[in-house]
Amino acid sequence: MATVGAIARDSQSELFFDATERGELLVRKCDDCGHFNELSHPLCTGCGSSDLTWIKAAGTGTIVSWTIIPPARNAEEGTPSTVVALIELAEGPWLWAQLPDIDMSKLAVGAAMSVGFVRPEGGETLPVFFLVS
Amino acid sequence: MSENPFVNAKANRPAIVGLGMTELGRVYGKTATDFAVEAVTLAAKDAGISVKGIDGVMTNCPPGAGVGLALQRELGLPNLRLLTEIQGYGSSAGQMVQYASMAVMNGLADVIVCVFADAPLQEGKKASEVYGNKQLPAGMTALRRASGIPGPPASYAMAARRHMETYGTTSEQLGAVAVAARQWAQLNPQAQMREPITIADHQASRMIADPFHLLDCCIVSNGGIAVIVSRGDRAADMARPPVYVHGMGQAHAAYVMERGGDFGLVSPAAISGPAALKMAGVSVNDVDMAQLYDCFTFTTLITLEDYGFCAKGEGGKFVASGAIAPGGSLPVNTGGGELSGFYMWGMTPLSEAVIQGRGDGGERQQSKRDVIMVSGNGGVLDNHSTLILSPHQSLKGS
Repeated sequence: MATVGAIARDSQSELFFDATERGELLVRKCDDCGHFNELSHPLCTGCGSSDLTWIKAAGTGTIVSWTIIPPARNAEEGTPSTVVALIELAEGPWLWAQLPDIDMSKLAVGAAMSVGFVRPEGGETLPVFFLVS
Repeated sequence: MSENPFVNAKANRPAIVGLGMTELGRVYGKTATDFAVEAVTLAAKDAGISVKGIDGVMTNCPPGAGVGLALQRELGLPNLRLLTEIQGYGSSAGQMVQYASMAVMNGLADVIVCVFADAPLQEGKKASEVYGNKQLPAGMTALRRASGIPGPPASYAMAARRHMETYGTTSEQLGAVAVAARQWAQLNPQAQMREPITIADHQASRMIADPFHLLDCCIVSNGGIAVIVSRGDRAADMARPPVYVHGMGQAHAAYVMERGGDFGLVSPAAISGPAALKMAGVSVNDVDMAQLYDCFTFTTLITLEDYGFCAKGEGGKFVASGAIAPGGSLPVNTGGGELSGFYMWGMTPLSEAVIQGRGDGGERQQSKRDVIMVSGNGGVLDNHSTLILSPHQSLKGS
């Protein structure tokens, strides 16, 4: 499996990373207009409200775009390429996420994906996505 | 007549009256500030004025490169009327000229130097080692990097892939942008990369972040470039022909990354470009050449579409037709751009526009140079600036 990077939590991401540790993906919904927001936004992109609540997402989505990053030139032989995609969650927000072990011939806009979780050493548990077979 | 002061400006029309370019590329042993001082000195000399004649300073450099307000002290200018640091990433050079233009038109200052400098290359180190961020990132905004996106190439690759899947743009078409830039660079003695390349070379170059090969990516350079902005009524006292500012625009996307978002499909150039053309009182059909920010081949392609040189989605066919190469219908990045010339953020396209506007382009000089469109692009297609420049004080109809 390709590796995801370690990242730390901050005050804005505590609930999100508590949830990933439990195996749940959260998205932010606006209390005022109901819009589901990009995960990093502190204000609603729909109405500007700051009253956003983390709620459990369905954990499914589709591929919007992707890139394939080859292993570093000094990497060990057999190191796989890293596939990263923009995933449109069922609720609407997009997420940058790694697609571990994906069959690259299946990469396509709109391909159905479901969330999984990995915990890199020294960092928080992060969402990754797998093809829905 | 338009109410817009830029359309009606006569004697007080802002103009670029000085250009200073240090040695660019693998130039070691100098800091960004060293390059900035040298670029300002060269720009003043070029304009035929003393550095002491400068009464405004605007600086820009990548975060951490260290060129800032202290440059005033380095330049020995104790009585400035304007001093500021500008940060709009790759849109900064255009932004500096815009703010300087408004300042000189309104008498806030009369002779403003705008300088960019950077020294990312270190002897014996790869660019990726220099640019790579080693800190443990934190919070939601760090998810992109943690997911495996190490830097700008992979982010722009994500944008390019979406364009390809939506409009049928191909890697070979992106390659045509790289080949055209290299053809222009061969005519520019200041360009860093002048070996001829073909589409096959582009396809064979190693993959950086699919769909980007190495030859889809700009080069990295040390150096500094400064331009001096003043007014037409002052230009008569200067040594070189002025290049007038006729139109300007900015647009900043901060893409909303959610359902319906247009990341990779439309850039803020689509707002900034038409705004600048309108201010200049011209249309895209009047543009004689375009100097476009080309951090990646895709950036050129999407900017051409968004400015309206071709229809949305037709950028691939447009560049593959040879339109932007030497001899084509729209000369683009006539000095080789950032892909093959040198990478000085927005100063790369801006300096080439000044060179062409003056008629100093030597072997690559274009005879048609009445209307020159210049772009700046920063972030991941987030920040955009546009300038419309001309050697003429008045454009048609104004």
